[in-house]
Amino acid sequence: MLTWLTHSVNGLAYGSLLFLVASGLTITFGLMRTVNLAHGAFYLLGGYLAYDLTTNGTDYWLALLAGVLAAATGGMVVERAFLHRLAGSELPQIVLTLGVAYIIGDQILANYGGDPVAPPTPPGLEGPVTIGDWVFPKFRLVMIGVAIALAAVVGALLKYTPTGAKVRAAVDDEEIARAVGIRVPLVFLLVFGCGTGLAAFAGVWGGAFTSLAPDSGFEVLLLALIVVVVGGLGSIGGALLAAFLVGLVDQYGKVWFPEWALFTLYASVAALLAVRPRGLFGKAVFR
Amino acid sequence: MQCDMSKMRVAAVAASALLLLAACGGKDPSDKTGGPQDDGKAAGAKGTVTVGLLNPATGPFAALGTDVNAGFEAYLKSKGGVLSGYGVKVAKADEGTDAAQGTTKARQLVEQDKAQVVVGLVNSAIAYAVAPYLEQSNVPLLITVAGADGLTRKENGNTFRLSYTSSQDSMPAGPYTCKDLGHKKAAVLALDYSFGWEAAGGFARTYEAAGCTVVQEIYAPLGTQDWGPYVNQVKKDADVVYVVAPGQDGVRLLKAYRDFGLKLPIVAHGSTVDETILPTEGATAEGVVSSLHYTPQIDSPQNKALLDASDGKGNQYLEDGWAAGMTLEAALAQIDSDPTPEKIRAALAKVKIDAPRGPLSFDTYGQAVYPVYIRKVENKDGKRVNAIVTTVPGVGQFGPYDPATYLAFPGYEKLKGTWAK
Repeated sequence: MLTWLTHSVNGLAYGSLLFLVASGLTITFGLMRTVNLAHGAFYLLGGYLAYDLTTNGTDYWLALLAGVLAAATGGMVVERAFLHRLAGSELPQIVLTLGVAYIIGDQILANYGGDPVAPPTPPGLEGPVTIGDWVFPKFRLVMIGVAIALAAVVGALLKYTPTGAKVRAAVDDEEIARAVGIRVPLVFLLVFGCGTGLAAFAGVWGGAFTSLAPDSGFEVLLLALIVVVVGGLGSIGGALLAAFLVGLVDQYGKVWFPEWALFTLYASVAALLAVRPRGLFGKAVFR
Repeated sequence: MQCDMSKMRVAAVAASALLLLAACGGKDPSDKTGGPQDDGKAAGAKGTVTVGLLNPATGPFAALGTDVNAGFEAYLKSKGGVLSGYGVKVAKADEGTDAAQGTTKARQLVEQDKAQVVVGLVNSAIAYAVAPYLEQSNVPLLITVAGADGLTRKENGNTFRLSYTSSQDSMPAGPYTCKDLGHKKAAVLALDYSFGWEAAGGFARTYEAAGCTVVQEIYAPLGTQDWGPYVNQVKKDADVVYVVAPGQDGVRLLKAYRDFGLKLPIVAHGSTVDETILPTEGATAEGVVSSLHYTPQIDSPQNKALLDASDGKGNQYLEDGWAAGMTLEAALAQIDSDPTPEKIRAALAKVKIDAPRGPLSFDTYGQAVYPVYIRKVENKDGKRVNAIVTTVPGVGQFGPYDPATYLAFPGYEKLKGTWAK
């Protein structure tokens, strides 16, 4: 009985990690409709920077902040210098961001080598927590709470604040938004920065969960894309639900059919998309 | 609506592009080390010999390839670029991430750079493609990492291997775990690919031969992000867990194992806790017992020379490269002039050296015979090290079995899943 509780909660915890990674992508790709294949690279950037700073004695939370800010700044530079010129043309965006991903990945390989590293677990969250006979890692339990809280905050920001309204307006109809005085390029710049900043946050926390290597950026990006697409482009709640589902399917796939672990995940995603091509909460756009 | 669907299509294209990338292991087309490099300018009294170094500089195994190259070059440097009177010219190429590139580069080393011997190879799949080509062109191959058992199964061929076959280093762990540690029931937790099956199989075979029982086998895919689901399946009535998970998988496995507060002792294949990942594993590796043919803790002048030449940093890959240099030196010492590939092949078969790992020679199949160390991760001055517990001398690829008996066993890929009783 307890084993099943462990499996289920761990599935949710892994889903939460996926949501942290996917949250930034939900904003940049799902909402802003900018394909960002460098998302995994910003994940690495944040994770490696935090790892570097903490091993050199910087306070954990300061290192986390530095990683997030660095990736946010980096993301904004990429957006301002290159990406904004490619608005609406996805294939050039794919090529460009893939290039950025390779550059960042190779810089990391050159500076830190190819051996895996891991940013530390956030202080106070190391080791397991014991409730009666049930043992579960504290860090993973907290991760679930953080994912739900993050989804609530980002969702509320977009839905209820004037800033959120501006963002939605800029995305839905750029020309009208400009006409009513919204500084669309600035909005996009900041939104993109938030997206890459979130990627870096996921890198610091996810890195503590799964460790980092120069090629883990792409592994992570693939899972994040799945979550965003299954959840429905642009839907924060959908992404959270999708992340939990993917986490649970992955977990039980590994428990019931360990030999088919990769197949169970991708096959169920393919099946779902065959039935609901727009994902769980993807809305139809009426023009 | 229309627009939305096209976005979905882009997402699909992006996702499939990524899947491809993941499959190729992030292949980087830039070839940083391609082409010959003349670092061996020193002229030897007896002439020169060209060595082709074929190790990955890109892809997931880049770090291992870099270490092997560094070990080989460090040894060469310590000898002033001259081995047994021959000036050594090194031609380096990137093994890459697929068999086609690996073979092309091997061809380039042999045909353009006129390499008389090729040293390297990390990826077994590439080694399986390169070895027949070199066999055919009569250029001896000295493998430094690639572990697939089948690479050294031909008697008097021209493939030699300094590193372990996947099952070689794990076989001594079986009787040690059963008899010395007294753990009677083992759960096996290994990666689901040939290395995992062979390494786990080597342990399971000798462990059961010693009179103990494997009670469970769990295999997880390479690159498993979350090991939680696997470590939680380990049977609670087992006495010990035998783990095969090199690289990043080892880091993740041990972290999940400790996070979930599991208490069973861990015995592992040495690559699960080798020095390339031990600093990252840190406290999670504490107490892990493992078997491998090398640890930087070996107290010998040969090992001290290696550690001094590499800033105190030692690991099995550096040692493989270093030992390749020593092996080549010992082979060239037997050749008076004109080191043709044929002469080098014949000389390699007779090599006996004292490597940093200990006494090393080749069996008739070209596989190295060497001591295997049972090690335990301990905290020494705030740093985790693989301290030597005991040494098993003269371990060959067939372990305690004679070649005929061993070669009659079915392959490990068929035995996978049948060890557990």
